[in-house]
Amino acid sequence: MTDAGAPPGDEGELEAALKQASDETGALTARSHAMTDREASLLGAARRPTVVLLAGTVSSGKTTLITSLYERFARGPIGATHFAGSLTLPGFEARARGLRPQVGAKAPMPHTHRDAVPWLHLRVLGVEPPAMDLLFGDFDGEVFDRVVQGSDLPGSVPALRRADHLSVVLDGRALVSAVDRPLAKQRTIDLIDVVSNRDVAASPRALSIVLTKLDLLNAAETEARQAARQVLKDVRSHLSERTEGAIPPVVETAAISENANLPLGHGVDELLDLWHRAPATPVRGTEVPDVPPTAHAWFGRFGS
Amino acid sequence: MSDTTILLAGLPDSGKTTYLAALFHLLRAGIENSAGLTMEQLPEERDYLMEVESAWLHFEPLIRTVATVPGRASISTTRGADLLTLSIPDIRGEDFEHLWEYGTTTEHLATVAASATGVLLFVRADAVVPGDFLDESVETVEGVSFRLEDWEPEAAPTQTKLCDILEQLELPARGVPVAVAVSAWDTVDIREDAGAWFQRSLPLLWQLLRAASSQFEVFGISAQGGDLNDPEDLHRLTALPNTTARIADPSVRRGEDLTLPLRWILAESA
Repeated sequence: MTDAGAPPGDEGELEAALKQASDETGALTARSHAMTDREASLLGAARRPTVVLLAGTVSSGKTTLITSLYERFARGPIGATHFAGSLTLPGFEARARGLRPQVGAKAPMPHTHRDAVPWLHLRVLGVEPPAMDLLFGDFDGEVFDRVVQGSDLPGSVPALRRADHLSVVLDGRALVSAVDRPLAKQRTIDLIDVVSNRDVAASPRALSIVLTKLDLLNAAETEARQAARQVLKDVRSHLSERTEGAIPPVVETAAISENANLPLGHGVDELLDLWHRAPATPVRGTEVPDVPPTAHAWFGRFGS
Repeated sequence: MSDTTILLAGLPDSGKTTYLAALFHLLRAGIENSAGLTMEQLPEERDYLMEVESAWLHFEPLIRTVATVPGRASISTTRGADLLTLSIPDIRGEDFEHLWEYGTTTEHLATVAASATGVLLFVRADAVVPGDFLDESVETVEGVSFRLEDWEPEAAPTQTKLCDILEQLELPARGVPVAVAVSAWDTVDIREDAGAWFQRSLPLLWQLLRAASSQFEVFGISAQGGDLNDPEDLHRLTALPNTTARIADPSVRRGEDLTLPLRWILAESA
């Protein structure tokens, strides 16, 4: 798989190819690896899944984190939670393949292409039935960048409104870099300002913060580590202010790590707890009747 | 008379055809078995069964389903006072592999899966492809670009493929009982329980079956009685006094009674 002559980091290749595969028809075409908006809508109409969205910049670790959840289940239950099925196992495998060692080498995960088929599905069973369906929106970080920059309206990403859990992702690698830290902080605050708007996220209770690459943060020099922690604190405060004083959950993760103290998928246990504890949230300030969404209108359900 | 359709499911070379051949011979020989099955007469359509039985009797590894058309195996049996028709179509492992890779199923597989009252899911003990976990990586290489065609569906872990196949056939959702036959059980440390081996070796699949509304049970099976590629094993098997000792004699066979999974399925689906 290694190709020494390839240009470094052609980051759109994986997801562009996935999109092409999903567009093609024919019995012998490789399967689509993930679910389209329409397929996710159909699932939503049938089963009322918990929709999870990780919102963050390019290469902040969103896809890696979602994939590590699958990799953890591939080893065994996560705490008391069992894997109970998935409609997108090829999608998880394709992403995991991008992470796994190839002849002794680990390829960096290319970033998710903007138009990639985004939805990954897991069904999990906790201590008591019924099993819970989780739908993960594996969106390109550019999608969120464009919303923050004002190039696209938040309404162009209806999943923001539909998400039961909308986690703002902070990249641990960026936070420990003196060069990257200021921009990372500003963009996170900008993103918070967008998603905390009452017309965007369904409820303040849907919002949380996920720190990725905790292993890199912990391995940094003291000064850099302290600076990173301060940013995390500032971001959390800002989100709290924007959500009328609510204290947003913060989950620190290390999806993949060479640190023995941070095994594979560190933090996914807490994320599963979070998603179990706080299921689908109603629209802020309104009483939403418990009407099953129609299949094609699902993502526009709470839209303006 | 009652009809029972059992789906033999599994990837290529997982032991489905070998099992079918050995089972047919066991029933033909009239050997007492744990499922209490007796074959009163040969099935009318028996060319496929006799073909695979011949290969089995000749100590030939049944590497893949020999028939180019789906092998039909409908055996009329008695079980106590009951007449029972066991329909155990031998579906090619390639059809299951195709289902994983392309998400499409043959009409035959779809029909059998929809009508199956039980599944006998084969996993070969000495051929499980494990997941390649991320924390076992050695080093990072800069500038490597991943392409979709680099993902080889056939290289995916065994447990992932089998989970996906069961999901696509909607078997967990329908609550169909699943008997897991760990084939080539003679290659496993005999001190390990089949259920423990399964949970340890295929934890994702174990979780899926455990979470499903149907029951599942695990059986260690050796339908060949040993490794036909091992000269010592082959000599041992060919020196046995009769054709059924390697699968029916508890002091000789390396796994459980071949009909034990069937007995379980019949009990669960009753």
